[in-house]
Amino acid sequence: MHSSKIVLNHDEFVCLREYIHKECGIPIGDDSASLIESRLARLVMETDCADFREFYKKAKHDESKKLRNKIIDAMTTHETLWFRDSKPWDIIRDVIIPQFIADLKSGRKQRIHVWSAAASTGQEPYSFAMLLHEALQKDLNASASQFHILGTDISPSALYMAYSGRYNNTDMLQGMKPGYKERCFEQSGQVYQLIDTIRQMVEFKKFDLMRDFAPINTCDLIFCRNVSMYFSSKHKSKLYRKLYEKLGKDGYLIIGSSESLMGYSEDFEQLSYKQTPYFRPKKIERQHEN
Amino acid sequence: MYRNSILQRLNKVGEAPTMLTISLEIDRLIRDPNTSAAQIGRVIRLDPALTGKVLKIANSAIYATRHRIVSLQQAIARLGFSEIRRITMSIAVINSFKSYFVDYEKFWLHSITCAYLCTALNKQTNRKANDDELYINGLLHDIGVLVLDQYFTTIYKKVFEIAVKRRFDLPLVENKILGINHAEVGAFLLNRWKLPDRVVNVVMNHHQPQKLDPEHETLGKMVYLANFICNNRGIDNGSGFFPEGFYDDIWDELGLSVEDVPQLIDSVLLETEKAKEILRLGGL
Ligand SMILES: C[S@@+](CC[C@H](N)C(=O)[O-])C[C@H]1O[C@@H](n2cnc3c(N)ncnc32)[C@H](O)[C@@H]1O
Repeated sequence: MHSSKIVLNHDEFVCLREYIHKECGIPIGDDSASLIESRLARLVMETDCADFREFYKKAKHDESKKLRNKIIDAMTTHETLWFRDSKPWDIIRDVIIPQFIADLKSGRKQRIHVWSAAASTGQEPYSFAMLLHEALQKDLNASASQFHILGTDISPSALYMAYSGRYNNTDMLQGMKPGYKERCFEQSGQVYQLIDTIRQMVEFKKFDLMRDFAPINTCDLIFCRNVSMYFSSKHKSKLYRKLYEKLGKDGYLIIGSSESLMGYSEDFEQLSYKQTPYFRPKKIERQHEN
Repeated sequence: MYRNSILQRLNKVGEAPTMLTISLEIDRLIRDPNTSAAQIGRVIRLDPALTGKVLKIANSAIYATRHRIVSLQQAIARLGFSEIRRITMSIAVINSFKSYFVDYEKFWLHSITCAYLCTALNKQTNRKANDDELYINGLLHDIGVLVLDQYFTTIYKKVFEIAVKRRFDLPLVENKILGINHAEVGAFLLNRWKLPDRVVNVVMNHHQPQKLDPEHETLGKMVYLANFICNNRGIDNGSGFFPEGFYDDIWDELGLSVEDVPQLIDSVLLETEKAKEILRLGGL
């Protein structure tokens, strides 16, 4: 047997990458073979395919599109990265965190509540925690204990991974900013373990965004990113209304770069920092309500 | 494909190793409510090596007994049938298989931890599955890896190295190159050795819990999750596999909540320590 036949080879990745791009509209980089493999391996097993070649054939000849949908799911469902979209994190670092610290220092606030509403495997709330940790090392006017960072998701599997704070090489590379990997993780073999200082800043709970928001505290900052696509128009409107109700009057909402509130909510006013939008509750309506 | 030649070869593998036979006999005896401690002692004593190791483990830090246990009779009385069954089973399996290139320590640390973790999961989920059955299933779930290592060393070494180096799912590489994977191989041999269906079925489906026979579902799901928890902690079978996640349905079906995660992680760390002792005192 030739060694070229032994490996899960490049050809298969090229085929699958093309398929995923064409059928699912998800672009995949040349160097993301391990991403495809890690996202789809379970599906290959589940569909009883011996290998990726067979899986690819099955997908290509799948008239019902069932497999195609499963592939989309596997590629996107828990897809997340460190400092996703990059720009909003400048807002967090330059505008929002300094303001939180000032509010705590002046006594205007006792405690700050941050909520990552579809936290997946934890990269989003942990990205916030890493920036906060860094800010607090420079500015001693506040401490981590004055912040409550909550990460919720509907998937227990994602939450387990999030809580454990353990990531493989592939996941570590996605979006990671220079310096943080070295400062905030310990490497053991192929796995990176988030240090406890950061890990313990975040609490994880299962929460379905379709549900009533009563169990959630009033927040100073909400991340609700890349989850609205799972909601119908009607439910999107409901979702944003519920988020609005959970946001303190000077709280902030951050959504995904490919998402928009337009057509779903008029409760928020749009702010912008370095051309990146972020949102806060409209003031007038609040007064009106009170 | 190697599939057929592998199956043919496995058909020629002889009877189950002696120690395994003895521990299966003990397993059978203990299921019978009329069995006495003396009877169990007699069976264990058939194998002096087994007897010595049982005593060593009975006196280990795991049980922290105050007085030294010097006879099998004492060990059985002090630790109880269930514990004796687990100890003999662990010693039997870790002494029944050689490893050529698979890291023996890593492999058994994974399997024994997994076995203990299954029983911890049983307690935590309050599913009232049979702890001894869980333990055996946890212990044997990956046995196909060692079987392939032992009987098909050259080709399997290649398979294993590819999985390790490129961090691929081991069963996928096995399927691709051998046309069969370690779950099937393990199940095939255990079936030949007349292990009960519940073991064979769980071993067979430990990567595909949705395929479990309904009557073995609870056992199989716990093994599946325990396997995930071990792998997530880096207590893998030597293939360095780091899982992306698990089937959410299984988590819900076992009635676990996210609030259970910290305790599960504590459990795996604790059970690893026990497993290390078993391996140190009961191993080759
Ligand atoms: C694509 S990820 C987005 C993760 C992160 N917010 C980001 O932007 O990188 C979407 C997550 O939403 C979760 N999700 C889907 N429907 C949900 C619901 N109804 N309630 C809560 N979470 C949900 C999924 O489990 C998944 O982890």
